[in-house]
Amino acid sequence: MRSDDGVMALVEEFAAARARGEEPDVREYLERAGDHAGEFGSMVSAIISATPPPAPSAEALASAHALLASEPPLLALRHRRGLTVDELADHLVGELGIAPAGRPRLRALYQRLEAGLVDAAGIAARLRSALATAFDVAEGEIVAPPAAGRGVVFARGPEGWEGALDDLPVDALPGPPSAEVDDLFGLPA
Amino acid sequence: MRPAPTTDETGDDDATLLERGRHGELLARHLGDVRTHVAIRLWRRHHDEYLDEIVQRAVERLVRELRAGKRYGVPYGVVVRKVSEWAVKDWIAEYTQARARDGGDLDISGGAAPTAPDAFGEVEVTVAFEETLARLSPDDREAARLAWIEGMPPAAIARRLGCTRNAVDQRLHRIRVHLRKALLP
Repeated sequence: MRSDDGVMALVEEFAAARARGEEPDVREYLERAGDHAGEFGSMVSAIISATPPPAPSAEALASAHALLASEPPLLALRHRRGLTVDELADHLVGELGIAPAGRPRLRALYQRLEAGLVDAAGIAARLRSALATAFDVAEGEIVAPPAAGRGVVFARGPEGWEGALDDLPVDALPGPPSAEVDDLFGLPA
Repeated sequence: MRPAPTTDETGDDDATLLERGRHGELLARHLGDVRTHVAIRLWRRHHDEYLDEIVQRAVERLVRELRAGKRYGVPYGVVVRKVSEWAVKDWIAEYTQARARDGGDLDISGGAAPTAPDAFGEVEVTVAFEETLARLSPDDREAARLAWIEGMPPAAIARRLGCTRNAVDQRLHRIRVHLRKALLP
């Protein structure tokens, strides 16, 4: 990025993409701005604070409503896509290249994530990406309930949810140990 | 690109949504901007591994405040920006304390130290974008609105305004000069 006008053009490009609902990743633009990243960032912050955001997607709206209602946003997204936990687990296993033996553990950990028993902030980027693909949302829309210890843990869900959780004692997960799966969910080694 | 919006077809603005208690729509509109603000504040300070955690904290705070019925004296876009910035600052403070408590053993995976000078800390934006637009000529203001708020490319703006592409380019250049002067010290 060589000129001030170039920075402004980049800011304009970002603002236009945001206005069109394309959800541009500002990090790519910061990279392109090079030595002018500071100026670029300041202007983008100012402009998006002062201009109307694009209309949200139905998925973002479902997620936001769930958050405000103290319900699991991931559950809302999953239901919106009409996916069962088993179907989602199949998708994640395929998308992430997990060995079949790791599926039960992945499925159980996903349920814990959905219920707020696993901190969504600590999940691996590739799991976040796979969930975004499954739910057809931007990665930034994969928000989840506060994890245990930092806030409310959800204790309700769809039919059968509580029973499924009861089958998963805190200190034991189904299936063989899998560092690969645990790493996806940010569990300590 | 995400599918065409299916909500918010009323075109209500943030203030209306807040006033009418349509908090879900309000929050949903700004989820992407939270991530943008946090990513900007984190740029060149940490690697991406902390972005999602901090975004989540910012969203949690926005949710708490909406649930509590908090009212604001500034536009909600400014609230989103400040909450996002505070989430970054709070995280850095916690990180720094934890690092000191644990004897500096925490790994930040090659990122710059959290206590490094904030690349954006000294830049204060003193003139609002809308105020800058208000000072433009009516034609330039309309071009700016179409480009920056409606997201139209220059060729579409030219068709809309009934002028040449070159004229639009010239207008956008003038607007950029105004904005740069207004938004940066």
